[in-house]
Amino acid sequence: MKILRRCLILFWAFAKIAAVVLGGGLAMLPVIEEEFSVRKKYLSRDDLLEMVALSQTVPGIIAANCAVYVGMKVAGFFGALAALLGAVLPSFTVILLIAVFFPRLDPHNALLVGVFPGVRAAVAALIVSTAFRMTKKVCRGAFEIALGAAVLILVLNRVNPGLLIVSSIPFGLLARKIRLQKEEVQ
Amino acid sequence: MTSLALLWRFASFGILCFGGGYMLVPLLFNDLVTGRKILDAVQFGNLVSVAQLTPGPVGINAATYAGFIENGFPGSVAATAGLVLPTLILSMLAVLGLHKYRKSFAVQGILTGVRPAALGLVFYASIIFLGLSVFPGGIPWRSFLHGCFGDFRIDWISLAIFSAVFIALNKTKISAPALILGGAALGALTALL
Repeated sequence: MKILRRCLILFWAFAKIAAVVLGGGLAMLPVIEEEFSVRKKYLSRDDLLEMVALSQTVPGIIAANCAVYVGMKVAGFFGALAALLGAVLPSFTVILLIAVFFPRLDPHNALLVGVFPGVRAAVAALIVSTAFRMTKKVCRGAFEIALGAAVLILVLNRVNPGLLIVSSIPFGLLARKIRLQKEEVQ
Repeated sequence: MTSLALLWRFASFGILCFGGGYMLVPLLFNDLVTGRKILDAVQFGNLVSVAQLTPGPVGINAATYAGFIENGFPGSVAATAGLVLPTLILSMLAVLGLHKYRKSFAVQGILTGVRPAALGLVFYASIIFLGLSVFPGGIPWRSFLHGCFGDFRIDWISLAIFSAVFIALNKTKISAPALILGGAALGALTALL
């Protein structure tokens, strides 16, 4: 019974977070802290820090990573499912409604014709600044710059982006090994 | 595409999303636009715009929409479930004890390779979106390579919105969604005038 109650709390909290926090990702972090660490003492500060670290290590949507982590900590497997379902359901419902009325994505409505180019320009700015911010975080040396540039050139020449991600793994392992060896020498 | 195939495809996208939902943009573009040609570039841009404008994680929104376009309601369920399936399994394993391997050579080595690759793909997504807004005739470097400007041109309204949002994002504390709504309003205003 306690588990069921906790699952409902998790579902409801993440549904609220996903429905209110636009943009997703770590924007939901302060809300998660408020909800599960301040108001209800389910998570400690260390738990929250670990959540941030893991959500950026494990591949996937960051918001979903956080939901699964919190759910797992609070109520185990079913908690993870409940939290994830909560995080997904509002988005899913809203998009479904839009997709039903606007299935082919080519607006002929005069207002929408103006709205979409405006949004595309704003999204472009968002993605470009994400790229710059990531550059500062990721590029620790020549290896990162070279690999990033190589991936960009290859994907522009129609190489499958998924393949590029997978192929970058052996290079990463090699670079890591060389760096560790250098550290040992010093 | 059948729902089962969609589930599988989006699960593979989910496992490749290093660094969050934005990674879905290059992966989806490669599949829907350059690969199977289900959408043209502008329709794709609109899809991401809707995903960005509606509440919730961008990746989930985009997957639900793309799944609906491919196979209606079952398609959207399959795509969304597929996208979060690897996350669900991997994050649960992480909490159950694998997190102690986070600092191990294998995990750190994989991340050393995958993070710069993801960065390259986010720059690719930037180029896609610049081509959908500021440079509607395509991105200049191709024209430079061919020694002429081709149909390269600048959309000045988009450039103005792009610059305003870019500066506001980096110099003020206004949230990203508010800025996107601002972009939408500016776009609508210029369309009306």
